[in-house]
Amino acid sequence: MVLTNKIVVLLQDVLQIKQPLTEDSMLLGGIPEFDSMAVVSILTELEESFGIMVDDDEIDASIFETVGALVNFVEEKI
Amino acid sequence: MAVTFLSGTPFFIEHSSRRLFVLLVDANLDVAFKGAILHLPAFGEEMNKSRAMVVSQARALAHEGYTVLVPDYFGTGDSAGAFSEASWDVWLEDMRYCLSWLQGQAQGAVTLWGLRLGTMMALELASEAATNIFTLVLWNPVLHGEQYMLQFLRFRLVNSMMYGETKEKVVDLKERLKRENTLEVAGYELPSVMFQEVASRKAKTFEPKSVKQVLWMDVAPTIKSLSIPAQSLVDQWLAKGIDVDVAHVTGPQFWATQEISRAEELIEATTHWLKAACSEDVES
Repeated sequence: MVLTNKIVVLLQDVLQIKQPLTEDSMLLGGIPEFDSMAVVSILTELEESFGIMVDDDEIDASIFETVGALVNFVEEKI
Repeated sequence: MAVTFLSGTPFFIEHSSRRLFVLLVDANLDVAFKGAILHLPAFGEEMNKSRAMVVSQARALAHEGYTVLVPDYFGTGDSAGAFSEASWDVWLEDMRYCLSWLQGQAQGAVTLWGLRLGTMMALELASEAATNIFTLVLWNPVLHGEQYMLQFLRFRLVNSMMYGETKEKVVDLKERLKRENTLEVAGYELPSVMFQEVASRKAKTFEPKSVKQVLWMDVAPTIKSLSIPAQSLVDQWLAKGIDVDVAHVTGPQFWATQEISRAEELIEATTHWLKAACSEDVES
């Protein structure tokens, strides 16, 4: 839960949105602000905040489908 | 704060047959002159997004008695040239020229104020033997040129992931860049030489010898401590006797936000620090 909350805050900050997000919230295709600029910013923020490295091969639309999918992705990396 | 009368004078500086657009925001004549500041802009879209913030900061400093020069790098903004003709070395040479021009105007030491990749430019300028730079202001520094360039290439990769038929790979993009000399990334014709030159830069390799004080400002929506490499760079400078103030303020990361945004706290804290730094100089 702690990780989910952290990622929700990170998403809200980067996307500059205030709407509440849950693990089921759709990202790609669900939030208009979620464009390629946003994806790059989110990846950078995740790397800096959690000290992880995201490989090119791992950058896939599936990890940006929902908040939960992104949380799972980060969870496996830390 | 409405300081509309200090709007600044736009003009061109000609140098090595390159026309550079600059905005000179003159010091408020009602207060004592405090010095001159050269701004080193961010890279690519980060520069465009931050233009309003940079001008606001320049005006706030002008109000306190600083003269601030805000240039557009060659091939960016309103300067002549195309991005595809730009290189780090050309930018460096131009910034050296702006610095000496400003030193001539202000008759004294110039403070360098960099944003993001512009902080790398500030460090490189301050490390050159001929420059007499005592004060650096660094806004959310980029410390690792290669990492930064790879993040820039990601724009293209993510675009291909979202809208393309097949997802591209950074390895292939690097190959293409070498082969074709330029690569279109997020609307920019990135030259291979620029990629190579930026990628070869690391903040920790620069020795800002004459620098006495550094203001390191990190703005983020939620306060975070310095990253490990950032902390080690700060420690490296402290060990050399450089006075480093690290400050965290909350606000949007305006160079990357969707809409143009402002970080008021950053402007206030930076202005406050430079005001105090200048009065210390007078006393000592």
